[in-house]
Amino acid sequence: MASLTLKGITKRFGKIVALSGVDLHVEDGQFCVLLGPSGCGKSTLLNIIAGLILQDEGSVLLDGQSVDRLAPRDRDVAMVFQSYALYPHMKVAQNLGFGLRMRGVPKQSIRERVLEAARLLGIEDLLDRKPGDLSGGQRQRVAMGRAMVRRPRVFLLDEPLSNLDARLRAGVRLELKQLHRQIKSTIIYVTHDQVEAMTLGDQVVVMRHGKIHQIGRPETIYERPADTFVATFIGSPEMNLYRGRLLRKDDRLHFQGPGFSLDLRGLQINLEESEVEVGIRPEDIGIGQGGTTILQAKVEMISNVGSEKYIHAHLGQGTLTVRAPKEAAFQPGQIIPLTIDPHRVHIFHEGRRI
Amino acid sequence: MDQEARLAFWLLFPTFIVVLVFVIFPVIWNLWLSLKPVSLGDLRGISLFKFNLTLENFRKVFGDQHLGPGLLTTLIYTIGGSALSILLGLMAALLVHGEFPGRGLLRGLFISPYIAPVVAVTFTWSFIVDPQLGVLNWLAVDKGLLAQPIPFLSQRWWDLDLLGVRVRMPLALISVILFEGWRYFPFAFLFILARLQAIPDELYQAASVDGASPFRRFYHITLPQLSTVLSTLFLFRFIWTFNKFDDIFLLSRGQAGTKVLTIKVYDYAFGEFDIGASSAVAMVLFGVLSIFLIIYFRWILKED
Repeated sequence: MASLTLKGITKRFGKIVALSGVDLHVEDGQFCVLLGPSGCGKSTLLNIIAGLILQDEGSVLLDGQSVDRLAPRDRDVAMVFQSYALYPHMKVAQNLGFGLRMRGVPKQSIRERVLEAARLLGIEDLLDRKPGDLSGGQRQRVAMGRAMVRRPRVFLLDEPLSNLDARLRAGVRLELKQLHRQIKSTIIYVTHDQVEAMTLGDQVVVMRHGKIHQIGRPETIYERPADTFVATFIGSPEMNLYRGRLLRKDDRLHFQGPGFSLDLRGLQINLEESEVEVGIRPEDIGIGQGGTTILQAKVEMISNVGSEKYIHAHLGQGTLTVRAPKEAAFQPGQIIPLTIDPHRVHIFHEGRRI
Repeated sequence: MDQEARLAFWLLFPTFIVVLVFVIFPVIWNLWLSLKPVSLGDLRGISLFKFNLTLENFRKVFGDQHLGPGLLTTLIYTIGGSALSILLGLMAALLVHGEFPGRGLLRGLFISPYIAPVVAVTFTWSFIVDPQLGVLNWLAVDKGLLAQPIPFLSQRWWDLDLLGVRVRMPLALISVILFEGWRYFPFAFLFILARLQAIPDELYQAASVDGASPFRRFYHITLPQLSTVLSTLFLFRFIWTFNKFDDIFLLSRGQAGTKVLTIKVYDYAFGEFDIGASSAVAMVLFGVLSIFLIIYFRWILKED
């Protein structure tokens, strides 16, 4: 196992800048998730770490040693591809053992390590089959096994769950988490799915347009998003975000939004009156009287997801999503009172959190 | 159901007729001719339908001392030509598989030997390698590479001195095999290129990360992925080369150790005007090819 450091990684494809100045440090044994919308450069970054793509600028270091001049086969990293990329003409056992065979490991120990990995993943009875005869979940396991058998310094996983159906995905996600706890390996995991990022990662790296927006623990990313992109990208349903003006009246802080006003008393903000954006997560809004800040919203639509309900409403000239318990019975057109705790409000100035 | 069956019958009927007229009937007619004393003059008239069957033609053909060597020449020519065309096709496909400027043009050029008229290319090559008039021999002699011109298509044996060991090479046969490889590599090239492009890049990436060198990626990924198309190609090329007549006839007239059995068919028919014996040789070709196909399919089925 090894730690991974990226220094100023920049990559251009023609005129398109895929990555610009990416710096990242991943501790030995850490589960690091690269999260971002498609086209944000996360897969390119993974391929650069693997050595399949060469960066234009910057450096990749494993345990502090630069591996920039090493070919993929000499970097001792393992990769799990989105399509799994299992060798179709080889049996599962041969697929698992291929990396060891290429490194000249004796046959006997290849057999032992293949069996060990197969046992760990519960695929012993598949060893004599070919990938074409396996289900999606089984293939995913074999792909994981092929990476594990080699005991590489770093695991690189490129959206490994995206080809599984939703139910299977949740199960495999848990297994992956357990597996990481067992083998304690350094994992770089690429995904566009925030649930995977939040549940799996020790460290989440949120990316967009080839840049890192925030690095942090999942809770930090969720509770204290660094900018409006992270704030709206993480969380489902999306955070409510309003553009407006921060006002001070008699030393009392106010947010003047589009057609409504939010009392922010008690907040310590070192900011003059200015244009800001205010974000409120749907679950941070209380329904009913009693809190400090009271707003009136008009119910537009209700989506019932079973465990809870989401109420889409009009607030001033904007819209608002509120989480409500599943018992909540509202009708479209109804006016409901809302309470908001100022301490749970996110305030962004020029896109950055303050 | 009845209606569907009737529809199926009418849909298959034209194909059935075509196969009957152009495949089954000629085989039976050829077998019929091979079992009768038929000369060129007998091809018109009622005598063809006489029921005077005899094994005389086969006795003559099997008694011909040239049959054994002819069969051997045919096999060497067929296996050599098929293998060479596939090998060249594979190399060409690998060459233009990647991205580079002018790739489309090069791919187009590679097809040209296959689509050029056979008479044109055989004459062109004959002139190029001709010992008196050919540019190849002239250049080689002029630059001092050769002491004297080599008659590529008209000399049976060529003694080569390889590090003190004298090797006897069937020169004309090798020349026609080289021609065969050159002329038909585009066929293999097209098939192999199509398959090559269908191999996902990720397999190669996975193999690189797994530690495979470029050569091992070729051996462990590319070759196994191409195995089906390569064995199919060999089957096609074997059948077609085995029955090949025009190329070799135009190049060497079957002289200098290039007398394959198809030329034997021609010799009997238009040299000796013995249609019966000619048909008998054709039946021998048919039999040998059938045996090869049975063995080949058994082998392929076992592989899967």
